[in-house]
Amino acid sequence: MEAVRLKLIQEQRISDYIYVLEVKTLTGSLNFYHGAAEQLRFKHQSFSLPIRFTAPYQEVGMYRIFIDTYFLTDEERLNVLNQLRTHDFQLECLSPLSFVLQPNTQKVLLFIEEIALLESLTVMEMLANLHIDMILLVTDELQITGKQINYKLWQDSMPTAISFQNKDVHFLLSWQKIGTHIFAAGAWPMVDRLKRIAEDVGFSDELFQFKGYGEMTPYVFCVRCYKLTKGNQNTQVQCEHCRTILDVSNQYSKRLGAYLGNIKAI
Amino acid sequence: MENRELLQTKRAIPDTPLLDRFPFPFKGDSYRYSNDSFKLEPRVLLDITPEYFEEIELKRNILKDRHEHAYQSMPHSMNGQWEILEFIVHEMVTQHPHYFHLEKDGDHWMFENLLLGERQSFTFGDASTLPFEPLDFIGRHVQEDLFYLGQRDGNLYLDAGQLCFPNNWSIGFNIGTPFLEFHKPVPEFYSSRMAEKVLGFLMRMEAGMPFRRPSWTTTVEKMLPVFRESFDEWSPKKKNVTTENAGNLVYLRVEDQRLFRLPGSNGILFSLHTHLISLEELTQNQKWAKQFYHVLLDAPDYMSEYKGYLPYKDKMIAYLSKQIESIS
Ligand code: HEM
Repeated sequence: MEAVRLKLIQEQRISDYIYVLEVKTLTGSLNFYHGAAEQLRFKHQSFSLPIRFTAPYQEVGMYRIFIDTYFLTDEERLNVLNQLRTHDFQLECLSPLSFVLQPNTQKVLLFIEEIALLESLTVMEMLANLHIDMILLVTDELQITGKQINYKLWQDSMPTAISFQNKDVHFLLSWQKIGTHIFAAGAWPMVDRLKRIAEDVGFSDELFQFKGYGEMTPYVFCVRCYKLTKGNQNTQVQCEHCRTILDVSNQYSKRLGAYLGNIKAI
Repeated sequence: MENRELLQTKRAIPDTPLLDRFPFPFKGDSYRYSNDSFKLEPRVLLDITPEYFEEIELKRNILKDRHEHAYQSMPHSMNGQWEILEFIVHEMVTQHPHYFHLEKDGDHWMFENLLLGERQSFTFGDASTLPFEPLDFIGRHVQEDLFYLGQRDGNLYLDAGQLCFPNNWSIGFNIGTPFLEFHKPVPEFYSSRMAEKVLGFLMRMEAGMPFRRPSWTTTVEKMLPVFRESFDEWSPKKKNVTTENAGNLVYLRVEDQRLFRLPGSNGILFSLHTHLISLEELTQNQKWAKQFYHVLLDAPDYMSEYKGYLPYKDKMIAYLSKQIESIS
């Protein structure tokens, strides 16, 4: 298969580390309209960094690429930018975006934590281009970062971000109309929590999509006090809340995101 | 005065001896897990036994003391719950008019439990007019534990349940989970994919064609509530069983389980009525005693272990064999 070669048309730095690149294809087209990649490859050099892309006009071979240079040294960052400005390049290790737009999506509630900023920006770009209503729900921390994000393409179309910390998410979800989908991108504990609420309120798996980051800490459900403690299957843990010693089974509840912790037999 | 006495006698629950009404679960001398549901005849849920008063009192105390262990519901179960309340009240007043009474004026209902001398007025469909959620309310008038299973996405979910007499499982852990997930711990039943077949069967169940199945185990001491939540309180009692005391200490525990399709919500109403009989009383029916003896002899360890009687299985067998010899 012929390599897909891309050329930079325009670049914009939108935060300390994140850049948006407007590119066109010289040859071929990427396998996905919206996806992720792990490497920028130039003729003589390649760089590993988190990359997301989306095709705003789909058919005309234009892409918007989001790169996060946080993990690069200053020198590497300058080098990448120089290469981009002067050479064509390829994207390596492609995969589709974690979030898929289902037919008849009318509105998306997008829950974001900072760790998922790159992914979230791409999703926002995708939704904005498709004219899908969105509500951004962010952490307090991200609300501050978000104010520093300067992306002129979105000046008019972007909704303001609301903090979901200390909000009654249960209530928020329970009055959503049919056609509303939920996207959650963040660290596992946040994703797990939202998943649980969404399921309680009756959102099916199709209506709730997520991308979890970091370590997936398993939890144990204490059968005595019904609270969660960190721990893994087939071990023994002490409940952090009621101090009961629990024999953790291998029975897992997707709804709770936890293994059943039974009271230890004496 | 005379009238009142007449009413009292009419209302008294017939004192049928336990042996004449115990739902003995075995057909032959062997028992294995299988898709063993059969058509329920007559097609009713309620089985009102002489233990009614004590069991209702016990239920209500449990609901007062440890509500979250005995009642759980998902927010989207409300329609199903109302349908269950209507279903049960309808059966109460048509099958047991001496015990229950209903006056309806549009959506305004006045429900009366004549056995307990209680009345409750409420607006049907408006949960704020009842002291508890509809399933939690009606469950306080029947001996059965009651569950609502919602059917969606090709699955059945445990969406609400009032469980005062559990046989060692937790409603708090299982609420909101699908049929295959809450049957996962059952050995062979889950791994042999029988659970999937049963699920398929349940999802095809039709309204007006209810099913029934017995489930059994044994319990040390006459104890209806066997909460997984207080495992440490009851499980040490297993150690006390000896061949000599097994007759008094050990009870055969049978859950009479009934399944009804609810045409309105398209969910399933699952009821279970738990009956206990001491081994000593059971041996008064020699046929049953022999059958149970053979079932125990034949039971594979994975099943005895799961059901929890493995530590004192030999004691039960020894006790039963003696009783069978001494009488025959
Ligand atoms: C639809 C309503 C039903 C509900 C809510 C239900 C629930 C349960 C639960 C919670 C357990 C205990 C699992 C544990 O150890 O944590 C169980 C056990 C079991 N269930 Fe079901 N069940 C239902 C219907 C059925 C049906 C129709 C069958 C038909 C074969 C069945 C077969 C079994 C068996 C064989 C066990 C093991 C019981 C024992 O050995 O003591 N269940 N069920």
